Amino acid sequence: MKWTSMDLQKYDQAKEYIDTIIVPLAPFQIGALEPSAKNADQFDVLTLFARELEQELMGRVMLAPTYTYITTAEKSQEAERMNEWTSHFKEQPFKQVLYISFDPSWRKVANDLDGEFIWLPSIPLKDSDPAVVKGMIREQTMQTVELVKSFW
Amino acid sequence: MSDEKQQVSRRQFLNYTLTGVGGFMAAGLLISPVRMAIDPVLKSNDGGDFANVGLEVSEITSDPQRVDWTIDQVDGWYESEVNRSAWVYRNENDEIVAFSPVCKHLGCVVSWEGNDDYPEQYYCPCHDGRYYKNGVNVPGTPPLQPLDVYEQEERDGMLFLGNIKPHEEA
Repeated sequence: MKWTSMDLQKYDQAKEYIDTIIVPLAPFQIGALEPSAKNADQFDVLTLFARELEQELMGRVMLAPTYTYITTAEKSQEAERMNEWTSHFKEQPFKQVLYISFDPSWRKVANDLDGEFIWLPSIPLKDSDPAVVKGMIREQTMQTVELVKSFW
Repeated sequence: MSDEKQQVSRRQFLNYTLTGVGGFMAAGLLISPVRMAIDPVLKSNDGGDFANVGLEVSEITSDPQRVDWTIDQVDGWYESEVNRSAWVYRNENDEIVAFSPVCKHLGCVVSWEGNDDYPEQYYCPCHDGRYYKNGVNVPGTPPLQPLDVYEQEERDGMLFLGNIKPHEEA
């Protein structure tokens, strides 16, 4: 399920079956060209990836809107805010709150998070042959599906 | 006699001309509604909805295998590529069957022998929904309908899949 009015209607009728929410975490900045462009690319890939993941597991998973933060932000403060998100989700009730991100710096605060943090190795867009990137996203999706299943 | 040679009178000439012009106008007016009325007949339907999924028919065995392909979907002004997949196998009557992998319970993607505890069955990881090899849902598991089936045809030895339609049995 996605956060759209149509899917929310379906969710409303099948709440007991959908016990997992996935929140993509994406850093962004608008500054020096190279790092900014890299963040933008990663944002795109994360969005595509999250959609694929949602499609595989749509009957048990809700995909939340992407949580964005400025790259220089203090992670412990962001963690507090994310915990507010988590407690909001748990009221629904969602049993599993999973955060997915390419940003490894969450690792340090992962223990302070009420949800589970899943780090994904980033997919380079440099040799951006769309078919290759697609294949890589597909492969990573299937691996992550297995990981998500292990939480159930 | 030569005086009697069919002289076209002014009246006749005008009549002919007006009938001719009128005829053209009527035809012009009629063409578009008629074209529209029979449009569905004229629309070429072959190949329009079928997509090559990149699998040779000779490679299809009695073991279901997954195929993935993309189609262009136009949604209003927005054109996008949509991923499709199917489980393809040959049934006991040697017919090719392509199942849509979308679980009839809440839409997760099922896989053939997706769980080691249930060999020879399709398995849905979300709520343990299961289907037999012929696509029929296993009673007692969450799905209430059999897996949908793709329309399929063979062209030059390649498998082409089209629209999704409900399973015929059950």
